[in-house]
Amino acid sequence: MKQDMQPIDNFFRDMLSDHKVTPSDAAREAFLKDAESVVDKKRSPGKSPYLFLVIGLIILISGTGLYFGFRNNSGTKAVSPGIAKTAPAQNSSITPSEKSLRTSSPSPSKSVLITTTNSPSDGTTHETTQTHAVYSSGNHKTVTSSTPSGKPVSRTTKQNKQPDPQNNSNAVSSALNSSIPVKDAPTRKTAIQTEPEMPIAVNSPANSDGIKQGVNNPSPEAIVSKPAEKPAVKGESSTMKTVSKEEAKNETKENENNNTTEPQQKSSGEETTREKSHSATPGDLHFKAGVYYSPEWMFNTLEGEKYVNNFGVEGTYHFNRFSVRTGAGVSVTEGTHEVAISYNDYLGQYSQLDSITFNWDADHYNLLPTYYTTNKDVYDSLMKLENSRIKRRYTYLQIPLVLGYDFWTTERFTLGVRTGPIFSLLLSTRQLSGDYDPGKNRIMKVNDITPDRIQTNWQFMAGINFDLLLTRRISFEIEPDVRYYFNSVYEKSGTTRKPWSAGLRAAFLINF
Amino acid sequence: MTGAEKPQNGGKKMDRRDLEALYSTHAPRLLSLCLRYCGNVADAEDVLHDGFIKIIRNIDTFTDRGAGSFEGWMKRIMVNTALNYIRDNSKSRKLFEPEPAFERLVIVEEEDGYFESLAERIDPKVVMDLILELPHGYRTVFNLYVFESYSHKEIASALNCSENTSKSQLSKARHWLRTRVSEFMIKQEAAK
Repeated sequence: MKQDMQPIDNFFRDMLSDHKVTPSDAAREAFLKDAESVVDKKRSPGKSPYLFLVIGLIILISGTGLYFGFRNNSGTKAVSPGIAKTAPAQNSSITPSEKSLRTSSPSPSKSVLITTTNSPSDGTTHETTQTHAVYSSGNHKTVTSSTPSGKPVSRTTKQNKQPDPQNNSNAVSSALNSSIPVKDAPTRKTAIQTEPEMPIAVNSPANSDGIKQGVNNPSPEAIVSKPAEKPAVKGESSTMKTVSKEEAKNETKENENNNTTEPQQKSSGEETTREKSHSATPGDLHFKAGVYYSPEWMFNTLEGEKYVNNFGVEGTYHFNRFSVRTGAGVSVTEGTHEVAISYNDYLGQYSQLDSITFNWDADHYNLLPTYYTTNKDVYDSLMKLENSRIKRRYTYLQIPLVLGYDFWTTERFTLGVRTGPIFSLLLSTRQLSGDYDPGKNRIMKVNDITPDRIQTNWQFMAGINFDLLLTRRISFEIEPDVRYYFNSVYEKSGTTRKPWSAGLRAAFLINF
Repeated sequence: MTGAEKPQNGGKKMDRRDLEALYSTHAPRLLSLCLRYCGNVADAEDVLHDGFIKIIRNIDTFTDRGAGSFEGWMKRIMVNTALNYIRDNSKSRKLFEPEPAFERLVIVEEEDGYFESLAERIDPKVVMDLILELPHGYRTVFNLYVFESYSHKEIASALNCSENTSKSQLSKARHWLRTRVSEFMIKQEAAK
């Protein structure tokens, strides 16, 4: 619309178009001081750098975990004790890592695998299978075996790190004759494969006899005890026999074949169950369910930082190292809803005359008026504006779908990463504080300053999960996480940037 | 940063030197604007301060639309800050006061090009003083209509009054200023 400008308007506009007034020095200094603080606030690390820092940290930890996790899976040297213990409990057949221990020994082997298969008197071999795994570390060797009752037995052996040609034969002899006797074992078939360069001296009181006996034994090749050659009585120590290297290899292959065809043996006992629930054995599928509570601190909301309570029930399917978690939870948060109220001030009352009636006063010969009035409120015509804050409680339904990967597992602890979307649906809005009290003033108009909460919301979470097995059935999880909200929690999302939050989830879960 | 342009990096990396440059470049012109609305220098400096802080705080939301857009954006912020100041002060005193009596009404027949010829004979400072002498309501409407090119509808919305009030206030402001300008010129002629 073109303005109706008159010459006087143009005159004033032209005259003052370049008019300048120099501000005072005090005003200048005051501005510079305040402006610098504003710029410093803008320059200081806001929420976004923190978000990137946390995400970067999670990625770093996850990457490290994945790296070591895969290395442990593919490597032949770093076999975690948990897995090694689990192997005899679940299957006496030789695992790939054990196979590699047997077959790949390009250098003087520091690892010796001793497989002792019980052979009861009835000829069946699958009932009492025993595996001895020897792990070397420096000058020490650890022999791990499991007894028929399922309890693992560890022994530590000492070896010379530098093979000395002169002492080698003695050491080897000692190793050969030590022969890992297990007194409580029944009749068995034992296969021991060693490298001649790496003698073993079993430093155990129980084996001292064996060491002495083997001092003068000149054949340091391999030791294979053959139950067929020497039938044993149940409860007797295993009999060891020294054979050539080729024989030992053949025997080992036979044992491998025998072991792989044996049915899987399930060991009973609490420890085995605990390991099963935690260790990543192939094909391990189990389910956890429980309750969780997760306080959450939200940023980038209109009211600044917000505290949110999340709690609910959830279930997690674990498949090997991977997991899927879902459930239903409630998210409760409080917020301030600001409204602008236009009102007219109350000024007072006046008596409005409704009607007048007159009665004839015969005594005084005049009319007596009777006034009928009503009190009327008087308001100022000037409209005033006031802001009012109302406290509200918002309750959301939360449905997560979180994928996980456990990259570090021990007997009691599990460390993993969790990530996935979370869907939120606004269930209810409850007003906590009272309404605005206008008094006697007249409210003319009420406008919402704070936009209403959005009905549905999507978030993406990422966190690190620490799982602690409290008992055989119950585990406790702690999970620090960050969440990014794909849309604002307000209906008018232009008023603020996308929110994000940091939280700490705690959960008690039952293992099924 | 040249000062007339938006600071680099959304103002996040502004140091004291940049702030001083921005202030030195734009503050005098913007203070003149604030003075037209507030009527006195002290209040105008307060409004200027608040307006400049808003500018620094929201400078990253500014979208450059060519030459002069940054200055226009700053002017809009200043005008809005000044209007807020006027609204706040109108709680204690009425914006549109009762009409002053035109005791010294002087009617001058304006010839064509009268005001154009005045431009050479009158100092801008005097013109500013004339505006500052305007009654509060007259001055606000006159500023918005003449300098900010607001329509009467926009003025009515901004000042929470009717369009007719805006029109009448503008008319009276013009009349007042004509009278004062005529008086000033008569006095100047007499002094010669």
